Amino acid sequence: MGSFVHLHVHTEYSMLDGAAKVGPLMAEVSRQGMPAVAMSDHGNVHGAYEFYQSARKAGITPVIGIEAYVAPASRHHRQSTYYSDNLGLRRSNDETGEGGDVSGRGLYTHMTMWAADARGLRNLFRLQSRAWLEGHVQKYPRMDDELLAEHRQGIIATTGCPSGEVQTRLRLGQYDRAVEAAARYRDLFGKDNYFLELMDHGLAIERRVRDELLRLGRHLDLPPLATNDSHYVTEDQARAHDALLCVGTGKRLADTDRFRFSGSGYYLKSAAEMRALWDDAVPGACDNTLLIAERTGDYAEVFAHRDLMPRFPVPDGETESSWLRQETLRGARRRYGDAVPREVLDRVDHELSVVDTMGFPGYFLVVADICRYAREQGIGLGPGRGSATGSIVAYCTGITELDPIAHKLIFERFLNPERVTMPDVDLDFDDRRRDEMIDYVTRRYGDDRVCQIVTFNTIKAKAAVKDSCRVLGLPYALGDRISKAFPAADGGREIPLAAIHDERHPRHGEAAELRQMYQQDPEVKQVIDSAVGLEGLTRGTGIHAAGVILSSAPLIDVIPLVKPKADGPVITGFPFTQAEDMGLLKMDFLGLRNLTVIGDAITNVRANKGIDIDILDVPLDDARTYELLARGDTLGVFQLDSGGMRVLLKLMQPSTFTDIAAVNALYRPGPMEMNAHTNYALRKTGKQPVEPLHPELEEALEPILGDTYHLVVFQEQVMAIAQQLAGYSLGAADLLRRAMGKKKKEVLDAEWDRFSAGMRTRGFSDQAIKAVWDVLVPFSGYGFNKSHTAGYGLVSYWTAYLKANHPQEYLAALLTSVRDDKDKMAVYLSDCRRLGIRVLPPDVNASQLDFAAVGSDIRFGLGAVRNVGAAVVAAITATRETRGPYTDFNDFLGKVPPVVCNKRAIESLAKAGAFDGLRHHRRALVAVHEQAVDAIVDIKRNEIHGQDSLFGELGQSAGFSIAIPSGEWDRTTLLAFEREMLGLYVSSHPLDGAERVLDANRDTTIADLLTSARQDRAIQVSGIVSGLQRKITKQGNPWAIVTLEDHDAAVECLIFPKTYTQYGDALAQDRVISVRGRINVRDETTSIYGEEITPLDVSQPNTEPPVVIALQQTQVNPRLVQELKYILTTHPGRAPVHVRLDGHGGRSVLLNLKPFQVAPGPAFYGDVKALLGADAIGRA
Amino acid sequence: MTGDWPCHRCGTDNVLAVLRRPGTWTNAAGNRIPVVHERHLCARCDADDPLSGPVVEYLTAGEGRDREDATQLARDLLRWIDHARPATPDEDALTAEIDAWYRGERDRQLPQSGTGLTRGTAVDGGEAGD
Repeated sequence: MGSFVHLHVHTEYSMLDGAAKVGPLMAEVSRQGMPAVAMSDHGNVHGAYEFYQSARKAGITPVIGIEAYVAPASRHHRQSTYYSDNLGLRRSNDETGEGGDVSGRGLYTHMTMWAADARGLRNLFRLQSRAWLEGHVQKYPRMDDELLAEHRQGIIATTGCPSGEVQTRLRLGQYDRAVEAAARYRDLFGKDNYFLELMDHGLAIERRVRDELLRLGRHLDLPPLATNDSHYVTEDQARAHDALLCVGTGKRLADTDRFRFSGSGYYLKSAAEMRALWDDAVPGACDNTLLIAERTGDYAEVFAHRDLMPRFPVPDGETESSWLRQETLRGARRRYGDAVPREVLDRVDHELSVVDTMGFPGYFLVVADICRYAREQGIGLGPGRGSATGSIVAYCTGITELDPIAHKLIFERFLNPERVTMPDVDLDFDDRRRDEMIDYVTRRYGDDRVCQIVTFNTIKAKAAVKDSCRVLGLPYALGDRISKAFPAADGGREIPLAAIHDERHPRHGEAAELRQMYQQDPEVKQVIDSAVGLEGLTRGTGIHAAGVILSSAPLIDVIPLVKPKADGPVITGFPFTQAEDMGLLKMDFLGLRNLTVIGDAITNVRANKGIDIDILDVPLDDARTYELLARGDTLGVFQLDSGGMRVLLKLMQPSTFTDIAAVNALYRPGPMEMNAHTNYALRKTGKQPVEPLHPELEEALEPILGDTYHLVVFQEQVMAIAQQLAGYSLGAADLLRRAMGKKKKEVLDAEWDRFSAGMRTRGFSDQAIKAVWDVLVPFSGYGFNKSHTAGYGLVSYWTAYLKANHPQEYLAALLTSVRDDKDKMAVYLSDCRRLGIRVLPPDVNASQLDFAAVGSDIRFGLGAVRNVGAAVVAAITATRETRGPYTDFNDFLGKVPPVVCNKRAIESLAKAGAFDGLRHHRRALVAVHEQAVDAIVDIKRNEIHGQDSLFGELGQSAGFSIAIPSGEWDRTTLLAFEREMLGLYVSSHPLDGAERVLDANRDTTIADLLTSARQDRAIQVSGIVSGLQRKITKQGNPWAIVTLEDHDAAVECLIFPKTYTQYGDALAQDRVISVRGRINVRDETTSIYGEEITPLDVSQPNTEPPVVIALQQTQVNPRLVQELKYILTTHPGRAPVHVRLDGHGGRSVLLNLKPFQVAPGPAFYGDVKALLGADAIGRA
Repeated sequence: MTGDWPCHRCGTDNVLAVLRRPGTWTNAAGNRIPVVHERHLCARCDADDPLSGPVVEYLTAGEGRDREDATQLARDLLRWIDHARPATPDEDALTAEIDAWYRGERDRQLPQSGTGLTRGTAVDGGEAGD
């Protein structure tokens, strides 16, 4: 029995259709001893690189192909094309599972094709790319005969599956046309490169045309080729594959009217199974699979790394290298003055020689040009991130803004001549203008050489569980319950389903709860078993958030390209790691919100104070800035605004820029675990002695560790120690640092020998050598590089500087940047209050779209009001600029254009307080706004039609006036509406004045709780109930989810039945309460399990004291109650009424008669005394 | 009815009185802090309770009460107040409820609307004379 090669194979990159992951696929091919295997995904070759590498690794010949979509007419023809006039056949097999006319409602036929060699593979990439770029309709990237003719070299093709043109025509009874099509393709690809594809999955659609197909093959002398339409690896995966189809189509397994695979056997059948099907029926059909595999040449050159670095255009007579030198020296004079110090020139020479040797001058020029463009266009640009900040060439050419010599940053941390890798400069831009930068590089280097990057969305474990639940027809709540039982993600990584049962999995222990559910609940078991088949499969594609690919060659000649959306960008077919391996340059263009804030703050300063700030000129020793940092007053300061960070800053009392770089390096899990952050702070403030790593090393280490109080804080310090104390080159020191971080014993042993020998030759003792080694090795596992923390530290410093020196302008910019995040807005708004900055409500006469600094206040932007869009705001602001300020509500409606006159917008503006400045009550405007808008709309409509031209000038709505009553809501209602419209309280807060009560009844504010690392501990918090969901359990017990909010933040409190039964009485919307309970942090969300609840009395001290009416229990009778009730109702006022019932033995009960509030004047007192006697009444 | 908030048990607006009883908690720093324990008297939920039922009956009844009834009210009120103390928090019970939460045994929504009991005289009860 001969072997067999599967040539029609759908991997997981046939998204939501193929369930074969490449690794298991290769393992199965290998297990079956097949010499080769193909991939032929639907319309893409996303998997080609992975498939190639995996196959080579497994010793299997890869045959890279595609099941292409071919347009039935032209790729440019976007309408349906059918071969038959029979309308009943137009429902294709996509929808019915049976054969019909042209597939995809007349948009495509299928063709299977493979690359016979490297040239063929490049052509396959081109065909695929052009299908996406030129023939993409709906979800089908379509090529056509014209493209096939243009890129036919090296391609082997077939008549295809039942959706191919040949079988479609045969099915329609068009034998002659089928022959014509097959002959056309045979002639196009060449006689030896066009095969008669035969499949047998037991389908009627296959059998119906089998005889005619074979007749056609004989007619044209096409070699037969047996394939199996493989969509998963092994037979037992059929159900998981069926579930995947349901995920893709949004159906359930039990649905009868859904897309499913008819027949069976869509897996990698054995050679014996395939030959049993075909050897007798069609001799040679299986042998030809081996023939194609043998004919398939090596694709190595396609995937090999080559120099594709974009070329930078330099003046005639210059090379990239010489031009970079000139640019660097020009920049050095700009940075350091005309007399550039020798140290700088030496460093420049050293770096340029490394850059030249490694072949990267063009790279630096390209990046510098991008930065130059950003600066020229006023697009916010980060001062440097990552290791690139360690390069003086980058500093001189304007790529970075930190002097690496002054800040002791090391070039070899960025480019190491002893470890050749591509340089990697990531650039931060104002996130609103990042697209402009991508447009620039696209124009500069050509749209055929620049593109964005594909990402693949895989089905993660929790999503697989939810999908599985849905396709099984089980309740969503079950999937949700299983998801909730997942342990928290570790560094963003969910626990895989395999960890539930695999005892060797490192997170097996964390899955105990899931395991228990799996074992005890059959439905959970069913869901998880099904989910395992879905987990890890590719669901679809996305676009890399930051990456851009640049190439010196047209990308279509290098890699496959796709364009998933007609109006979207062109993206690579391969993920960036694979593109980089092939030599393409990937740069990250990141959008950094804080750069936007800095830019807006500078604009605000100019508008409010008339001062122009160049952020690059800001001195790094500004006293106010360090005072702000030392106060921990850093809410809204880049990277320094968390609660823990603020505590650390207060402890540390930063006073130099190095402190900022250090705090960013130390406030990370590794250093914090070693308490390095606290030690640094204590040493800096003199509360802990500064001790060298070893007494013998004090002097030697002073230049390296002196700035950080003899603590190792940065990776660069490890490198400097290796260089200066052990004789390493900086390149070798970088390798040592990496080795220490990875902790491979054999590598570390070798390095220890070298390190200790180096130190010994410099006269250090074994004890000193051991002491420094013992500190460096563990540090390297978690240490951070100063180049990055210093670069980002500069952004921290800039934001701190702006907050310290221009707080109104900075906070206005900050509030604008978080306009869509009400939680953050509340925090920053509270910070404004704390700093004594008034945040004024929106005002139709004073507000802009965004928050703005106005003198020493901040004015709310109209754009933050719910239901008020940018167009309405633009009309309001433009009108007042051209026609003058609005004098009252009537004037406003009369002046504004019709776009503003919609009821929702006007009502929202009124509730938000935007008309307060016109001296109207909010309640009054809400009461009349509908009537007013109806009236003004009629008038404006008539104006437009010219009917009122006799009465007034167009646009002034002469004669419009509506009576506006007076009367305002009570404070609670007013604030509630304000909050509804603005997302938070602005003019005041219901808890204003209650701070003392709250402080006495809480362990922490809610904001501090949320930003702290407190977990699973008892805690008491207090605030107002801003949300209350009462629920009952399946057992019928009531419980509740309470949203508790204080001035700064909100937290959910879960009040389970036992607590609810005890304390539910205290729960009511808008009530101020205190909750004692346990902290719960799950999925990065903090909540509280309530254990005890108490209401808090936050009534203002200036409210009326209650009137207390004393009664003997024996006095009480119905007549007296009636008479007292009459008195209470006839003297309405604001004082509450308490009745004290005095009983036997001095015991009393106080009754608060809530419905009654009285005016305790002489008339009232007289009436009460007349009824009960002179001693019966008093004030509390 | 108080009109301020619904009964936490039935969700209806039938709260007749609110008892506020002083108590203490121990905060995270280990200090005892004064708090108030609150208990509602609901015309709907407490009518059949042997302790609170008589109070409900008195407060929801119409005319025709005499002096003896009022004296009895005072006794009933004090008896109800004596028994309306919250239990000591039970850590184990809370742990069991958290476990139940993770098992997904918390789902159905409580109906929010009231059922239209007649509005009557509203009182808000509490302790005095401590």
